[in-house]
Amino acid sequence: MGIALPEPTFHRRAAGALAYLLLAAVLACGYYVLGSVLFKADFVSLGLLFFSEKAALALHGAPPHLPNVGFVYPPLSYLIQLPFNDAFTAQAVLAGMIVAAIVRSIDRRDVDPALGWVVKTFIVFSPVTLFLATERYGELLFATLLAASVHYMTRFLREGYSLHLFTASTLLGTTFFIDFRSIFVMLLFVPAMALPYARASRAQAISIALTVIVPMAFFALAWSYVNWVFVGDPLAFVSGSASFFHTFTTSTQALAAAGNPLSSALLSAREIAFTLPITAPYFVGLFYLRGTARIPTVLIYLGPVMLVAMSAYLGVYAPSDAFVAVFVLTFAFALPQFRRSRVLVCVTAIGFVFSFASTFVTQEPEERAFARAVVGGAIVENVRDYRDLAGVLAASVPGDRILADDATMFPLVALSANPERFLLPYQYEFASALSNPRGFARFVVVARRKDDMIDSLYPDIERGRLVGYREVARSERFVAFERLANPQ
Amino acid sequence: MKRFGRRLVALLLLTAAFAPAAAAAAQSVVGFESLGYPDDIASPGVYPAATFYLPRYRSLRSLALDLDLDVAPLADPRSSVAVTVGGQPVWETSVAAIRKHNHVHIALPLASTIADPLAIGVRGHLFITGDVCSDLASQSLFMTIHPTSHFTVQTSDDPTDIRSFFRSYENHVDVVTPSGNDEASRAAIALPYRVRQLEPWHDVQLALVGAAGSATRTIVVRPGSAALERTANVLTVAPQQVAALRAESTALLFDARASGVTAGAAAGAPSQRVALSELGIPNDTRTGVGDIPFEVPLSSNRIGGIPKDLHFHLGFTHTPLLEHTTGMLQIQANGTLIAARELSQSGTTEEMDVAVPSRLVGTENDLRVVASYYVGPGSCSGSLPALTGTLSNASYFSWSGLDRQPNDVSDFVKILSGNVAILVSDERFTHAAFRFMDELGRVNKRVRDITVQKFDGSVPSGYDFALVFAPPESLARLGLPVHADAATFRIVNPLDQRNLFVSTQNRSIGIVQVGAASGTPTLAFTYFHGADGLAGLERLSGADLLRQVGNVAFVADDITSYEVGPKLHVVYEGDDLATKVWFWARIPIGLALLGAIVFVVMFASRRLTGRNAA
Repeated sequence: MGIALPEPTFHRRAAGALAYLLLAAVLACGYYVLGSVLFKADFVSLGLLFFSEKAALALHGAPPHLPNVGFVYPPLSYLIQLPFNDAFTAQAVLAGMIVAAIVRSIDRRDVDPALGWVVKTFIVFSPVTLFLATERYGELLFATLLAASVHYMTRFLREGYSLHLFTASTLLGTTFFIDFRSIFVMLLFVPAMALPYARASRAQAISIALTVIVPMAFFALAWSYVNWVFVGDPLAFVSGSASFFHTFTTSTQALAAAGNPLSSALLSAREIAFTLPITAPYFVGLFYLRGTARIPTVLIYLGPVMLVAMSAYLGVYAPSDAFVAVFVLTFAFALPQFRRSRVLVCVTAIGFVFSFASTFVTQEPEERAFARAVVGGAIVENVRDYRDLAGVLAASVPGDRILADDATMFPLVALSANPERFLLPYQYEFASALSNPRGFARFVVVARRKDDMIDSLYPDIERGRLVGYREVARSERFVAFERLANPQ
Repeated sequence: MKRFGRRLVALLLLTAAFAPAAAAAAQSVVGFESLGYPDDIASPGVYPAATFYLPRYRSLRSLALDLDLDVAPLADPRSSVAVTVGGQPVWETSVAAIRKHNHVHIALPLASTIADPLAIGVRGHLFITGDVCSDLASQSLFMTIHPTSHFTVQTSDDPTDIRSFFRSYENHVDVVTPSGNDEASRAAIALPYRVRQLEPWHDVQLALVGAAGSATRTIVVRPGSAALERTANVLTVAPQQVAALRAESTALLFDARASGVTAGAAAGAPSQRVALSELGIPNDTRTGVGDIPFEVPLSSNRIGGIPKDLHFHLGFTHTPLLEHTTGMLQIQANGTLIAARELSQSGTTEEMDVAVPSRLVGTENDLRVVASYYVGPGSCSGSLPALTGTLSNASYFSWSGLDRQPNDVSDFVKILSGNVAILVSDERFTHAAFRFMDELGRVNKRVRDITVQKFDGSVPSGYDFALVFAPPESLARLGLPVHADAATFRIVNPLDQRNLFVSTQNRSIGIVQVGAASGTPTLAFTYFHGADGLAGLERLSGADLLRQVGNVAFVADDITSYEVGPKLHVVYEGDDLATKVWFWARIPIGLALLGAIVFVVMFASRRLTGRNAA
């Protein structure tokens, strides 16, 4: 039995829009304050700094570096922050809008009020979503779009409106521009959407399959073309040195399981089981799905499982809150399709409670640090050394250049007030500066990693030796040098 | 009695006449710096270890090791340090004894092993509490060996044996050429590279001099002399025989006790795989707990180019995993984890075929095979279960092809291999060429054939790579990025029109440029504004060259390279106006051309479809 919703009028629509804006503003302020407090205490997601550095170089680099906006990385997360000129503001505003949209969509649908409130509470206050909303809006947007596409596909199966199919495939295609791995779910979605219609009309089944495929295929091919034109390799976004797939660390276990169907299935099962205290409502919800075309609906609903399994099989799985959020948000968007059940309410409430404990033991250090900071009040500083060095550099003459490899030192560039001072690999004189730093840079900052270009050419840097320079700062992650005398 | 005395004298004279030349005894010091360890060697852990390799030459009579070392201050004085030869312990002492002087002198027995090279190991057994588990977790144990350590070698060899001339523990060699002799000077250019190929285990110091100096070994290049002739510490070589001095011909050379030896050229199709044994990496067996790393370096100078579709085929044998332990085999390429596998519980030979992602493959590739062995909580109590694993030297790299077109000076130095032509215009460039070949020998030992010729303005075909040493006016036909014979020039960043380099007429500089003359990758050495610029080229070090990641390097007091061509532009005097006009007008000109094309297409379309007629 559904709740009788009042007919929408102009006033109701306006009031609804106002309520949405108000909620989005409140949430954005909350996220901004929380993010700022943590940032002041020297904790911030390095992913956010990664975005921030790319945007800073695109807007203030010398010269501005457009490929940094994302000819290789998925571009959507970068592009939507550009108007804000500040990754932290962008993070708060976008997260506020996304979470408010989810909450409003639950409010507007025929949902068990008790379940609706528990889910809304979960989404607003759980450390899982709070972390994404405060530190990783890109992943929050990805989870939301993927969950929404699952929702619209199941609506199409239930109601048969082609608008839902079109919306679902467009949203799904858009996710490609945030996380290329979303393409994996096509393996499940295309047959699940088309096969129910194959018996009645082969032409209709093909057209549905094409509608699901085309946006994703178009975006993927367009991206390949852009990579080909600007980077010289159509698959640079997959295998290039700056590929998105190298921005996260795949676990040793995931690599060991890659390519082996049984091992990767076991890994997926183990990873999902590990998150069960939080994702249990999603799986319990399977038993409460209602409506016609139940098997295709269930298959579509299982899209997030397919995403984890294929990522594990292809060796690109890294445990993160984003994957957990896909399960949670898919469940949230599917609320109208569930039969009313106290079990579902209880399981969701338990999941919400567990989400506070579970994030303490997550394998992802930033998620763990965030949960400890928010719940326990113990903030783990992760950018203090970068910030201190940025302060030292800011105190020097503004025109003095800083030689660094931003593949490893992007947090420093992001935290610096003057990104145009940096001599980075994309700049034409970088090779010259590498061969003779004294002729080009007053400061040289080198990550203590083998993959830092400067470190690989000057192995004595680890011992604090760089001819013509003196060591001025050292942390666990980098060594900084200042030129002794200007050779010019 | 008198008759007996005469007979004895006659017998002694006869024996002396038919006996081989008297053996000459000598003492040499082989410093750790000469073995490639210029800095402290720090080895962490409960069982810190370091191994050094010395060739076991026939002339070797006795060997001693002077070791300067420190042990972690927290290590218990009863901890011990042992020295092994060929894996056999030959000496041991307590840390308390080491701390008295931080120096030990050990006479190493050679009878315990017949291995060549000799593997001399220094191994510690350190502890703090006696509970190995907590000691391991403390990460406070280490051993440091200082580069002032050295071996002292007593030798005795036949002063006429050519083989033993290049089997010496001495590392100072003078190369002498008669002054004014062009043929001898050119021939001497290849010598430092050949000597480094023949004696790769230590850092030979070579100097090109006009007369024999104080060096313990001297090579004289003398036209008209016998092919190879040795007298005590002087080896006389005919110019045309320098090419015969190379590693492949050493078997022939080393059997020669007289002059007149000529070695044939070795040839072979380029291989597409190389085993670790061919890279000089022996079967490596290690025992431990935690991460047990095996380093597998692959440099492009060992295979002659940057490999495409690089694969690593691993063979790794290990002992069974004990109860409550887990094991994982990881392969990392240049610091990035690229493959992993769980070790089998029963202990077996793990075989893995791993594709190394092309983004991680460069001229220098460091592969690490890490066997991770961890003991479950509570399972470590005093006695530590350990894993023993062997990285087989039959493991190999394979690839589908090699990228042999270097883009910059550093790439060129690393990729240089095969059949190389050295083209020298005149004697002014001899020292620069000698220096380059000496430094090249430090970082790249892949050159098979070297032909030194007089430069006539072009690069002859048939060579894999060419090195040209010539004045700027004779390089016009090589198509190099910078025309060094111009009156002045600038290197400009086209994005902001900033001058990154401006030549000045009152300052000579040396120039190193990468080009491709007639399709042959070419590295050209020249000067700008006078041959004084060659002084910089004569000081170039191998480390300097490896840092030149641009295709043009200017050498004066320091060396700076530039990416001239696709990125930076070179502007010559007189070009400025045309360049500026083109820079500002290129977009309007392009748009105008595009508009014209669109107009022509529209016009043709209307004519063909006949709409204008309607």
